[in-house]
Amino acid sequence: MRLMRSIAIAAAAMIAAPQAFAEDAPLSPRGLYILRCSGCHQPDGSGSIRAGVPPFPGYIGAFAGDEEGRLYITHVPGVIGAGLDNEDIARVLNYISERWAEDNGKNIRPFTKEEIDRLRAEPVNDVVAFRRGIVKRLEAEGVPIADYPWP
Amino acid sequence: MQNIFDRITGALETAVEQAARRSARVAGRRDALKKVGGIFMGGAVASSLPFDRSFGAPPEEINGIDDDTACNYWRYCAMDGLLCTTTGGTKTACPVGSEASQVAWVGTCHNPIDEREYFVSYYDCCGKTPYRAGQFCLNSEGERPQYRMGLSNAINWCMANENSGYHCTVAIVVGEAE
Repeated sequence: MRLMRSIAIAAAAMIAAPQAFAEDAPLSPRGLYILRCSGCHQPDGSGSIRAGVPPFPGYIGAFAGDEEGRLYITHVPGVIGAGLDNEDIARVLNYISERWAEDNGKNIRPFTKEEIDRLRAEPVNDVVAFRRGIVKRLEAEGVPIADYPWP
Repeated sequence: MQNIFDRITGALETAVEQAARRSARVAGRRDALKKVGGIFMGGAVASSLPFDRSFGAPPEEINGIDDDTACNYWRYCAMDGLLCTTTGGTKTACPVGSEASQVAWVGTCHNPIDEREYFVSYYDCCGKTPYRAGQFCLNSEGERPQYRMGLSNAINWCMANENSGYHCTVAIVVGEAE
């Protein structure tokens, strides 16, 4: 008997991690992205506003280039719940930055396992409220921010 | 729906796309009779969520790796749902009247034809009631319980669509696993 599938959209969109199944051989950062992230963020990074998944192209640099933004990224439920170790989280985040941040992410400091270790150990009690604060500050600086259903 | 699938299929590697088209040419005509037969036989529909996609019926096994209406078709290794190939669509397109889910799950499937591993993205088709006569499959390779939502395929991914009724599931190759 299958489990019920009724899940509140709001909760799901926050948790809705990319789907991933069997994997034995080490995957490239691109492979990790496809397997662990693209289910929600789509292969082209365009996401789905309706599903609460913001697009990467043109926007990810705002967060990846900001210290609080980097802390936020590492506490996004989909990142934490993707089943990746911190080394692979760093690899896939660097792939995303290089592919979709401005100038191929050359102005973004690369993520490292050590940084992910440190950021994940730092508590963020309400990730939506934390994001809201970052967005308010960035918007005041004139930084473009992707649409998001929980402003 | 079209936009999502256009974007996804745009990511197909040439070899994969060619293989998919070969398969579609082989299976397409054969499936037409089955679909028409299903329509004439009629099919009571089940609606409403939450629901059980199996409708109480055990998944059937049909031999043949080229048959995309069968649960053991290689792309369906992590399939949990009704095959769109048996409900009026194809393995990469939703049936008329339904639309692709906004989110999906991705698995890694072994293609026995070329002995390679591919990423397969499973999109639910939404907005129509399930077609009870369609082929239900439950191939949960690598699946985990729903408390690890990101690793569970027992999710109605239509939940983010305006019409969240589940109809069937397609399997789109999005690249070779590397």
